[in-house]
Amino acid sequence: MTELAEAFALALKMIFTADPVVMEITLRTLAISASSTIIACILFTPLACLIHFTKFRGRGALIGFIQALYSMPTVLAGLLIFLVLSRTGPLGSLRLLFTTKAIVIAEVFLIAPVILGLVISALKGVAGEATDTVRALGAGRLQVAGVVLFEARFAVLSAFLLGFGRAISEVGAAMMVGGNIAGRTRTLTTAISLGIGMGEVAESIALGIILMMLALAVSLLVHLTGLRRI
Amino acid sequence: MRLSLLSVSRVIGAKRLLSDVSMEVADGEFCVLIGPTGCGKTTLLRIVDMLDRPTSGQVFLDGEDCSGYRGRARTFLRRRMSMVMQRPFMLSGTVEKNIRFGLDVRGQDPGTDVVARVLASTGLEGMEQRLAKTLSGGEMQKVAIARAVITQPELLLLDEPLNSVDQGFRPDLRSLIRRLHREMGMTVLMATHDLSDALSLSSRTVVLSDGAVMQAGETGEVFSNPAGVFVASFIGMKNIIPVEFSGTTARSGGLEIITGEPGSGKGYITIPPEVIALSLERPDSSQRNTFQSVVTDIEHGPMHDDVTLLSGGVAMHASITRESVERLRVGAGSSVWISFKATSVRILA
Repeated sequence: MTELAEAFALALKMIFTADPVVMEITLRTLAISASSTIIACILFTPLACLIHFTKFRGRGALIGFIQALYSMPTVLAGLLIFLVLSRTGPLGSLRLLFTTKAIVIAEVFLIAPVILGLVISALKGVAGEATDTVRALGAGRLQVAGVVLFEARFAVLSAFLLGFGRAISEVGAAMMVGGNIAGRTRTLTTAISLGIGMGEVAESIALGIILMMLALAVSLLVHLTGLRRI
Repeated sequence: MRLSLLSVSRVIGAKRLLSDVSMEVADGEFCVLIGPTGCGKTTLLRIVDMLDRPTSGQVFLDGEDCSGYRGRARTFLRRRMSMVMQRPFMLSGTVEKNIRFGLDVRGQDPGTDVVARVLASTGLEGMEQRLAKTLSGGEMQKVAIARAVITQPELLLLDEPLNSVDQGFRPDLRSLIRRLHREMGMTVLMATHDLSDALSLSSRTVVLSDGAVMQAGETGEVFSNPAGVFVASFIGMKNIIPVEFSGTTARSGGLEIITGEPGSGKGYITIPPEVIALSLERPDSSQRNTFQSVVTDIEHGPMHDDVTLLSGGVAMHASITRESVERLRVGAGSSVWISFKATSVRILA
């Protein structure tokens, strides 16, 4: 118990004195998660609009499939991206494996269904009258999509934040494609995982507290955006 | 803008929403579509506005067939029209942002004086900076109308615009619609199930039922000469009686009603409740239809009482002033005589 209390005190000291290793891992994690979230938002928000506004055969089944992928195991996502980026894989020549770019790719792949599915739900949540009203007032297809997206902005923002939350808390894929290399690809989650294994409890607790605070901040933002209606 | 529909139908699965609808609205005319809920009014408006496609048939705007228009061409054609939905959807933001929307998507800058003029003409001055979603139902509908007319549409489509508005707010909105039509001169096609909208606003009325046109014509003509039992009943006519004609005699139950015009075979007649006179003794008058009846119910109204009678097994309604009812001292079960002129009896086509 004393050991644990000491480790906890040391962890707090590392946070408040801005321990260089802890800060470096935290900043890298934030950069990776933010990059993957921004890329996923840029790629998949238009795709979500396309799926929402286009009537085609099998649309319901496609949305169901996307939603089923919410619970895709992170290790599986990591394995797929590992195979794609490995030396013998289709993108092996790019030599991205065990770089932060590989982690970003894996996280984009992992959070794509979440962002895609939740943005579609957000657009669906806007009353059908909105689309008809905007079209009847002379808006073209892109203008309609823009207005409906704006009307759903708080739900869409929640989808982005949830994507970020999933990216920052992910461990399996980051470990597999990033390799947890100190000073290069180590993230909060992989560092905690390794730290516990190597007995570096204080550092793991410090990183865990930071991760917890970031996760809480994301949840709080999701909650606050959910409260906005007008 | 002149509007013509030629044999327009819309079918979804086994449901036939519109059935072979043909109609014309002249340039600058105010036409009202009336009919009960679910009769196809909204579907028809949506097809005219090209929000939905007809399963078959054609829509012509100024004589041009719309069915060939796709994509941007369709949007540009739609921009010559505006539609106000039954439940007004307010875009996030201010009243002014909502009102400018139609011009913004067209890439036009209306200038503050145009917005101010529309705000003034729709009674919204001083509200431009209010959040549109915080307005009352009536105010929202005003914003929806202002938003639709600021683009100066050639055809204004109104889908039951008074439906979501409090009763007290309706005359105000009705007179706003009337004034805008008079001042702007656009063609208006308005769906409603409120007869007073048709009577007070339109010069032309189309009656729909189950997706089909029951009658179309000048509003006065439709209300004075309904074509058939449905229209007569929908426009509030009472005493619609199934009869068998033999010249100018119409038989129903134990009654032989003399009509002004001869009829043939089986059909329907209608007798306006206000032409039926009540008396305690057999009237000594020139009226050719005189029957002994029993009062079965009296429903008090603000000006007249609705007296329900049974004459020769046929139920009828008479509209009598409160003073007359009190003077005659009749109530449920009273035996009375009713009389009306043969020329007051209308034969339904």
